[in-house]
Amino acid sequence: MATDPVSRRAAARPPIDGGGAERGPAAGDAGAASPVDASVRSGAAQAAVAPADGPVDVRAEISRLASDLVPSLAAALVAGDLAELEIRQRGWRVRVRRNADGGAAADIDAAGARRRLGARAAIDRHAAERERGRSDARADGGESQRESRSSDGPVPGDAARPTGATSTNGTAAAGDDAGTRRRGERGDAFRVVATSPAVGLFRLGTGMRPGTRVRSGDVVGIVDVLGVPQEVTAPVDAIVMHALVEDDQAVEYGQSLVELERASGDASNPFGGGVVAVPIEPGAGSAEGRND
Amino acid sequence: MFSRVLIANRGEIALRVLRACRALAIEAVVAYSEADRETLAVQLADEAICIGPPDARRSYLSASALISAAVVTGCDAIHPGYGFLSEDAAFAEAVRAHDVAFIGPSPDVLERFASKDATRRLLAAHGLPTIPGSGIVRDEQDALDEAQRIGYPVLIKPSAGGGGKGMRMVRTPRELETSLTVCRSEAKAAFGDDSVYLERWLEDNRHIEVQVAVDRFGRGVHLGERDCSVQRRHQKIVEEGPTPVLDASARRDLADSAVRAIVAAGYENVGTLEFLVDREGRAYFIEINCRIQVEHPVTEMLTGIDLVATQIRIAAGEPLGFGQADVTTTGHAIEFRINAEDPEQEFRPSAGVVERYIPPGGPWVRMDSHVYGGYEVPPYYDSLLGKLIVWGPDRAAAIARGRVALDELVLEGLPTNLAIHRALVDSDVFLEGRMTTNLLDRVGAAAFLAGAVAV
Repeated sequence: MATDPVSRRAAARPPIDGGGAERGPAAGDAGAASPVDASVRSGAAQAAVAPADGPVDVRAEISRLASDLVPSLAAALVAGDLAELEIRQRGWRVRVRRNADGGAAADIDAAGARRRLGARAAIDRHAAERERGRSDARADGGESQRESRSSDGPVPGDAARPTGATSTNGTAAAGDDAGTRRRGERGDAFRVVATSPAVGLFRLGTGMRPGTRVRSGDVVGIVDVLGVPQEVTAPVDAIVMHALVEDDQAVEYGQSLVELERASGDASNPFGGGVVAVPIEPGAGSAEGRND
Repeated sequence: MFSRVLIANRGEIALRVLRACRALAIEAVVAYSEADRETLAVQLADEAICIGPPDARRSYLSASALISAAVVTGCDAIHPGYGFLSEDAAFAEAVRAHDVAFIGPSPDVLERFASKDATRRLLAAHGLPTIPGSGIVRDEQDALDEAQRIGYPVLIKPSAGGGGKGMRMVRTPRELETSLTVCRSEAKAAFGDDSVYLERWLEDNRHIEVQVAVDRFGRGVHLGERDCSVQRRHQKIVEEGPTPVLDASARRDLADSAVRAIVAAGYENVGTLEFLVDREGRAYFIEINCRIQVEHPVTEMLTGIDLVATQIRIAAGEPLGFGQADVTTTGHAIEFRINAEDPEQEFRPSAGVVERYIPPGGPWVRMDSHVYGGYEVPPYYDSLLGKLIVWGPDRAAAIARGRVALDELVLEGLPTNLAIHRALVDSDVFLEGRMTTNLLDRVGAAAFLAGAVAV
């Protein structure tokens, strides 16, 4: 499994919306998600995929959505005892869903994340084609094929689901339309993973259990490489959710090992769930955007 | 026999080893860097495990990553392919220390043949002629004295080297003085060892190598020779067998002397003894490669023997199972190395997406390649995209078949060296078997390609 690029990127970026606190704590924070990323994405492999309107406008849009739209959606969610709300407005799709403890909260996913998933789809396309014997196979096929081949690897099924998804009492959460296996890579901006520094055998750090608070750089586990432990560290200040693999399981370089929830805003704030705002691309209503 | 092999390499050789494993009913686990996730061997593997980032020092050259990958995936052997750690005695020793077999010579054998200088002396003692040369030169004065004794021009060669890196030919004492320091620092940078030695420079030589296979019980055979005289900057680009410049008895004498010497010197597993052959047909031993080679398919086409499977069986402790009398070579085989190189930019390595790939086919045409339409060639590793190998009952028939196959091959999306192969099979110098190792460099590969030179 590759490092989850979506979560790591989102996590690594500072909040960009200073006015977020009274408008739902995470909205601005998570606004750091991906349109900006996409435009600065470097490396030979993929072309830059900056939105046509440019990063600055996207930030302004996210800011506007967070201040104007999200509070009213959150209020409607609570008042109507709904699990999830989604509206489309001026090229954006904003989705608000309830958290496990009944609150609602915000994260904003955006085009870059979906485009990266598109790239991932391209990566796995050939395996998928071989498996399915057809040329239009998409990411799901490739992913499941890869996972089934790696017998020692984790299968990110239910155990890997972010709490946001499991909290909706059967209501489809954001990303479920893309299939549960890919749910974990969907780019919930709260979700962060600690990844493997090497090939070896994983062990969760002592004292690490769901709810343990860790700081960026804290050791959350180790990977034993021929008897030499290498540290698995938290990429950001976060709360441990759970290990994605069992102790003494073989793991590969870059594999997601421990799922964390990013510590952000005021923990006592009831709005701890999720808002997903996604720019709507032409013809991209259902599928992941391909990167080409 | 092994039950599960970790393939610690990439590209076409990872695929080749995987196929050999399949043929032997061994499970294949492919170790790959993040840059090789899409490669064909990864897709076809029984299991694939990411060992590190694209930087080879942290992936394909990382002994701990590779051995850890073998251990955690339950492999009982590691195949190192060629390049990377394939001839590294310390790696082979570390592999063994973790109760995993190294598919290649044992660590002590690798150690014995690690130094080119020591190997030349060892095999000279066992009867192989070597190019007049020096030992490791102590200092400048020593180098000047030795060069005087050997006779100019001389070649300065790094003792720990390979692949033509750090070598320089000098024609005068003055050139020797200026080049010695440069060669030492190049050798230090490339191999971590600045010791160099001198060798007489043979003008217009041919590169001819003998393939051998020796089991753990000291039983060895040769599998004929390959002529690799078509080179660009010391890199082979076309290999063929048999060589067009030696007659049958000279070829047999060369191969017999090679296998006799190498068995006597205690070698094991498959290996290649490289010789330079001068204009008069005298062969001089230059070095040994203790691994499978890029051009091994030439020998496979001539003998019908699967060299990678043989290598694996020997490493598993099996006896060779056949003798010299059982080895016959039939017809003529040629291999063309298809590289991601731009002929218009001095053959600079290229990278990019293979937009269209149609391999050639037909009888006695073999294409060993890890690419496919849509595959992205990463910029981090060597530029080999694949090898086209053809066989014919004689050299002319093999060349004719090669010409057809080269025309059929479609590989689009990034620059390749296909044009130089197409020019070669239409050139008099190749058709008449007159290629020498320095010819392309002397006339200029670009000029040769343009047909602007008469050679």
